[in-house]
Amino acid sequence: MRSGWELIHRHLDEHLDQGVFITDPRLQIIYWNRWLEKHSGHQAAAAVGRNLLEMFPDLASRGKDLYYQKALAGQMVLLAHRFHQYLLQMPPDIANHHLVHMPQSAKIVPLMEEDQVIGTITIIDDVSERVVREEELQSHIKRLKKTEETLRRSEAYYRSLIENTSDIIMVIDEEGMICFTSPSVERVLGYFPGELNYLQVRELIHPEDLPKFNEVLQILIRNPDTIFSVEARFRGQDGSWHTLEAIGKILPGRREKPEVVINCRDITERQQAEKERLRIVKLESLGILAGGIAHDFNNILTGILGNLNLMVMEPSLQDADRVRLNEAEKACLRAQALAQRLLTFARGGAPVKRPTDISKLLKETANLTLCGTNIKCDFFVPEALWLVKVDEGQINQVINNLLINAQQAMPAGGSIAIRAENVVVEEDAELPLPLGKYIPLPKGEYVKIAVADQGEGISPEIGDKIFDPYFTTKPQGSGLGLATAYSIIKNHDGYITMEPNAGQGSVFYIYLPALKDAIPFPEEEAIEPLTGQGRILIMDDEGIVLEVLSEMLKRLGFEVASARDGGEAVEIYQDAQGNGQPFAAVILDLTVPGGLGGKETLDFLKEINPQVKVIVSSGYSDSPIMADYEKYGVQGVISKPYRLPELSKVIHEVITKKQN
Amino acid sequence: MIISSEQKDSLLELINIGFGRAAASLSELTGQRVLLNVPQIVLCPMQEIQDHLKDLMQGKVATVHQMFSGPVAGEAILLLDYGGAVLLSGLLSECRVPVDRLDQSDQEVLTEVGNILLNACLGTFGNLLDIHLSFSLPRMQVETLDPLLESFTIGSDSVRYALLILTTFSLRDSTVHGYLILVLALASLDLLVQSLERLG
Repeated sequence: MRSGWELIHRHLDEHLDQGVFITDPRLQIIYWNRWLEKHSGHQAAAAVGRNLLEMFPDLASRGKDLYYQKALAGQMVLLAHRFHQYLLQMPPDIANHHLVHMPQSAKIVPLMEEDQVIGTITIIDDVSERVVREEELQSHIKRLKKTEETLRRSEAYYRSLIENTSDIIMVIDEEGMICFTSPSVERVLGYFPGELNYLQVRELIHPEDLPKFNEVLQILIRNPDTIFSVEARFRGQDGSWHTLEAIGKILPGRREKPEVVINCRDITERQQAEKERLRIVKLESLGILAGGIAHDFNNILTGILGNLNLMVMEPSLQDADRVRLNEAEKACLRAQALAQRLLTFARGGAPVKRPTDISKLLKETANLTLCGTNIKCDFFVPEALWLVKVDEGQINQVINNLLINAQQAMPAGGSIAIRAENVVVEEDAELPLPLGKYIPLPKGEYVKIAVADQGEGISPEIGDKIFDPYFTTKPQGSGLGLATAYSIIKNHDGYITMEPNAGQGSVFYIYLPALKDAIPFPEEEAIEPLTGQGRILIMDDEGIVLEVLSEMLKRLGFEVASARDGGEAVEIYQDAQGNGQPFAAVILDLTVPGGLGGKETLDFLKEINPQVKVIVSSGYSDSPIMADYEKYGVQGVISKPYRLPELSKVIHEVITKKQN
Repeated sequence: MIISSEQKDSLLELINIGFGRAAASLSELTGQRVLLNVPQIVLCPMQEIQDHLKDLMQGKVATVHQMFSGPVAGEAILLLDYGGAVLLSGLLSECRVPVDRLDQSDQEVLTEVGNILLNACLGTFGNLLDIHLSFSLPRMQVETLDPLLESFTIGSDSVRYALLILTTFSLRDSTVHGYLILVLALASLDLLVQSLERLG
């Protein structure tokens, strides 16, 4: 038996890769295998016979002696490394700076003889490799979790950016199928997020914009490192078109099956504002030109009209000649109206605004314009309509233009509806009109006028061009009617827009600032020429104006001295003051090319005589002096061309006016 | 075999004593408060155990299996669903990043926990019956439930019963449910019930 026991010992020593030791019931070691000799440093010869708890006192201090009591009571004991770290203190078998003791898991088994426990068998496993591997794995998992958290935060951050951007982020594949749209698609185009997924992007794009979109997309697919930029109209959920500025590039990392990420910005309003700006710039440049022409034209007309006026007053004139001269005078008046239209372009075809009952103006203009035509006009105007502060002549011209357009749109006859109502525009109000979605009106009270016809209407494509100067669809049209209307309304701080309604007639809308509590300006009385006496100094660079004005003043009973520019006028005025023959009044041309103009001359005259009575005359009605002459110390103004009655009235008013 | 409600109450009380000891051991071992509750026990023939478990546990399970022998012989199994086993191991181990799989050390932890629980429970029975029970080394396995349950019934001619003990581990504000199953031959069960009678 002894040889059998020794044989078992030898086999255990040779083959076991575990530590094994056996104790008797008093925990005296009776077997200590070679693995333990190697790892614990205790030789079997020294260990056998010793008490386990004396040999390893930390077993008791760490409470591990309890497990031997359990084993001696017949229980199987398992000691997991994670709970116990180690059973016997041994140096680690692998180089690892974390390990102080060899990590172990252990089993303590009761050694039974029949039903009696005669000792314990302890089996120790070195779990160093496993523990190090698991620690490395844990460390790896920690890093992964941290990376995962960083990615999650990063993803949440970018998601938040995408969800909150005002632009639409859209991803399409190379065929144009939509793979993703950011939630802002709802705000911009009205579609639910995800509603457009798997749809063809081309279905959203305006047919006219498709060729350029296809072209840039193909270029991008062929040259994946480039970026495309294209403006195209996209259909909104409600069918409206939104101009989007789309900037696209190939989504990185998707080269196998290219996807394009497109950033779409709604530039509809910006574009509308830009069109508005260009329209204004165009009008301004035309206005300068028109103003210059009107000025020269008015000077010429002053000469013609004044002379005609004087000739008509000749008592010796034959009746037949008088008729012809009257016709010529009428032609001059029509030319004056044309010049006035040109001046309206000039920034101040400046309206001379007065509180006006617009309903009366609308009715009078419509009745006059449509008289004798096959067009019926219906008015829908409330009694309590607010007054507006307008230049009656200019607004008359606007309404007249709209009515003529309406009449021409209905060659077979029909009816025009004119509506007016009080409206309050709130801040940043968007008015429900296709072309007027963006209306640059400050908040306030307005009178809204609508002129609707029953014609063919205007196609939406040309709808936004109709206010451009020289744009016309009529073979004989000048393209100035609606441009003039636009300019006039703009100068009144109002807004004009239209609803195309192609096929159902068009509707023009005008907004004019309202005066809630004002009373209408009294109507002008008829003017008769008034004679007078005294000396009057006139200054104008146009010889024909000087000549006819001089003759007209003489006809009214005045003595006249004339000057070609401001310098000469100042000289004459000074001499007259010195000679005791002062002038009762001075009529100054406002604009003298290359010489001293009216405003500068006025300053010199005031130095000579602060009480000087000055009338300013000009072919430009947009000068600040003409609009607000009293502020400049001028007693009166008269716009060229003028007739004798108007001239006499102004002179009479100025001469009889007492100085402040 | 049917046990009366009084016998069932006595059995439950006995199990609670064993579980109390196990909970104390686990608390001492882990340094944190571990509670073990037995809200429910069921005694049924082995053939019916599937009916009780199939709705409660499905798929992969973790078991700690231990044979015991002596005057009363049978098998004891701690049964946890895999997710519960991962969670329990994580709760019992300090400073570890939660993962969704059991590594070797986790399995070792669960084996020691199972061993403590089974020893405490069976030790209490041994004391009651005043008999000595011998135990095999506990064995930890990850397997699917159905083959495990079938292994209890196949190849056994004698009528065997299962004492199904719903076990709840509570620690660190978390709860893990599992089952302790004692599989006993009719004779062993009869002996156990008679002892309970004596207790009553």
